[in-house]
Amino acid sequence: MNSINNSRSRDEMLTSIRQGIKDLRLDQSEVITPEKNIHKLSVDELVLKFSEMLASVGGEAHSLAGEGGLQSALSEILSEFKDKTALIPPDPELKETGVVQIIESAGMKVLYSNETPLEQAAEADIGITTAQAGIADTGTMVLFHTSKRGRLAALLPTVHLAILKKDLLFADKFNYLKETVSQGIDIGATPMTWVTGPSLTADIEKVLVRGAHGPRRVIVLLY
Amino acid sequence: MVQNQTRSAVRFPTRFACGNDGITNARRKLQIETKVNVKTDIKSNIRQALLDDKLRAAVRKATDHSVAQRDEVVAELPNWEEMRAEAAQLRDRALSELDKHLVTLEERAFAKGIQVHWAKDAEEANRIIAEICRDSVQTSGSGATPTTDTDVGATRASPSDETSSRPIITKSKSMTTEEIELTPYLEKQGFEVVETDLGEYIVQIAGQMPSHITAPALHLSRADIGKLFAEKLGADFVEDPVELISIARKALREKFLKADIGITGANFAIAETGTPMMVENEGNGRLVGAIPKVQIHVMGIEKVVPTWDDFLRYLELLPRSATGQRITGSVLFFNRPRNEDDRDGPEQQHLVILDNGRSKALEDPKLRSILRCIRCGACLNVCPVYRRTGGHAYGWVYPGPIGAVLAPIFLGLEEAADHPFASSLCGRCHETCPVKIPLHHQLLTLRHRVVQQRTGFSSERAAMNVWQGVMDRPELYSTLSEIPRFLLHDVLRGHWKPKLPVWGKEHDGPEIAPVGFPQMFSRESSGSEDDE
Repeated sequence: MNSINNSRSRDEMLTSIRQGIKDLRLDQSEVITPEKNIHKLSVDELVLKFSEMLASVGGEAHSLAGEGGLQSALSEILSEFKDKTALIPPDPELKETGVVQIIESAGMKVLYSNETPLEQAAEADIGITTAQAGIADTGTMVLFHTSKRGRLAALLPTVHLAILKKDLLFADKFNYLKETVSQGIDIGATPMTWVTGPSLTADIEKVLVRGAHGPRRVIVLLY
Repeated sequence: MVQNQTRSAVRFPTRFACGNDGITNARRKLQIETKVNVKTDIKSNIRQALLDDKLRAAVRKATDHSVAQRDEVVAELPNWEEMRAEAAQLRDRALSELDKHLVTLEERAFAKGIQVHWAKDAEEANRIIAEICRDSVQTSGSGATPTTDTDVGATRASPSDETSSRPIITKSKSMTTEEIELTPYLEKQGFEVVETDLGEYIVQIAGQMPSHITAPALHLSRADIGKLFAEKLGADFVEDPVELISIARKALREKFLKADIGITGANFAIAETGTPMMVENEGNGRLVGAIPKVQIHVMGIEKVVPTWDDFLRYLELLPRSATGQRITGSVLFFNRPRNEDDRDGPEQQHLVILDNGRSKALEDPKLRSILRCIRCGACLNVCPVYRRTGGHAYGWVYPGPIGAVLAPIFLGLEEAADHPFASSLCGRCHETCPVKIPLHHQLLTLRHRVVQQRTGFSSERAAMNVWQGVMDRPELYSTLSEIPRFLLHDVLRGHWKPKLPVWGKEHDGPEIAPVGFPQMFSRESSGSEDDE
């Protein structure tokens, strides 16, 4: 399909824009970038910052020692969810880290987001996913959406639990962008959502309420 | 007002008012008047709004809260001023090569399967979007078909209409789509359009228009909203925001899951990777982006930014300025439509690039920096006029200082001649603006143009001419200024005082001085120090 369904309007608009900027010369001066005083943070410092910032917006982060720590923390958290339903994407990392087995052994029903009808998926009690990166200074997790990592598990249930490797934490968004680009990852290739804490609204009298259309409770397990 | 030409400058007459008496009267008046095409009278809107104590209290409370929150997170950044300066410079730089960035955006987005459309004006944008919507429901055979309904009034309350079989469009909040009046257009075409941002949803079911750029229902109290939900959604009356939100969540969940088409705005579109993006908090944007098979993003031409690096700088400023947050709950990057293996995300993704008067503003050296605007709404919260009147008084989709500048640009100077005057020129809008738009200067420029454009007799101009004549002649000035003092002080001896209009209703006038100022002044400056 042609990208331009209305090339005449396109041409007219571009002509009009060019007319508008014809007396403007590109500002060649150096953009004065404010000093960014970032010393390299250690993993522990990143974990601490991430946890603190996530807590400040009503989320929970738990710092755990490796996969063993992850598994025991997860079984503990999921003990609240016995006989409940978990919605998960078909993400191989969830199997490799033993997450799927723990969900099952917690006595929960597992629904895969890629094969469950929407209405049923929306009834799930908790969504469990991986996160692909974390931005410490805002407590933000980065979710890429591929066929193995759909959007729904992190979105439909009222609780979202994400697991995130500690070495995927970055000091801030600039740092994250720089590292990502330098690893040769095309940041524009895959749909992506940055999620910071539970969904929220202050549309009624500016009263902050956590839990709007997305999750009400967000848990990030750092391992 | 000399130019009493008959035009309908209020573009949303039927959605104009809000649910309280003062404004409802204004609305009734407007609805009657718009039938005979009377020019928008922002002055009378303001007068009505000022009489409405409930409205003023709600607006005051909300804006105070927003300003305090914004100040708190801004204070965390020691170099906020440098960041603003940098952002302003980057915005100008992007605008100076706007054509190039738009072409790059189009090329890169298209390469990833996003279809790009160009719309010169609101009408064209609406037509393009309606066509996409119609094509998509026909090809997908979703069973639901648009049924053209000529009675717009009947379709207005559509979100609560359970039996509807019309195709469902879920929309996340977008000022640009408000600007082009997309929702009523699509409703007329037989679609059920559901606003999903809570504030937008509330004003939609109330049949109103948003009164703030980032907090559309700021003018309504929790009781107003409770009544509205009871009336329109059949819910039990509650006032607790948590309960109100769970009512809305339940009502909207159903729409999210059934939606055929999703429409969003774009806070920015990043040219280097062809990425439309948006920020939101409620998770509604995520649902609109995840479920419908067809996704449409609508953006103004000025929303294109060349690089991710630029974009991240604006992302530091926008949530802080808009809602006092360090970052919004979600930041969405609509990088591409779904692949064959994907199970969610849109199969078809469209980006509509809208001009609608923007390139005209670009041409204007005094006004073009208005296109730096990132629609944070911070200028509304600090504006002494907005804080007292709320957004509806402006009679137009963009209120506050930004709206007072945009109205004459988008609607024409004649249509919106009073908007630039709805300001005290205090400059707080400029001080708070994260991209340093000289809003107060632009308002002054526009005032100047409004006055210059006026022809025919104007009592104001005549008076100013007389005033100028007197001020040019010091002796005449001092003689003339002596007359009222002489009459009031020496003849009437304070038995009668002039009553000043408006101000004088609540205040006594000052005592009349025994000696006139020019006389006093010349006595002082001649070095006489008799008083000692």
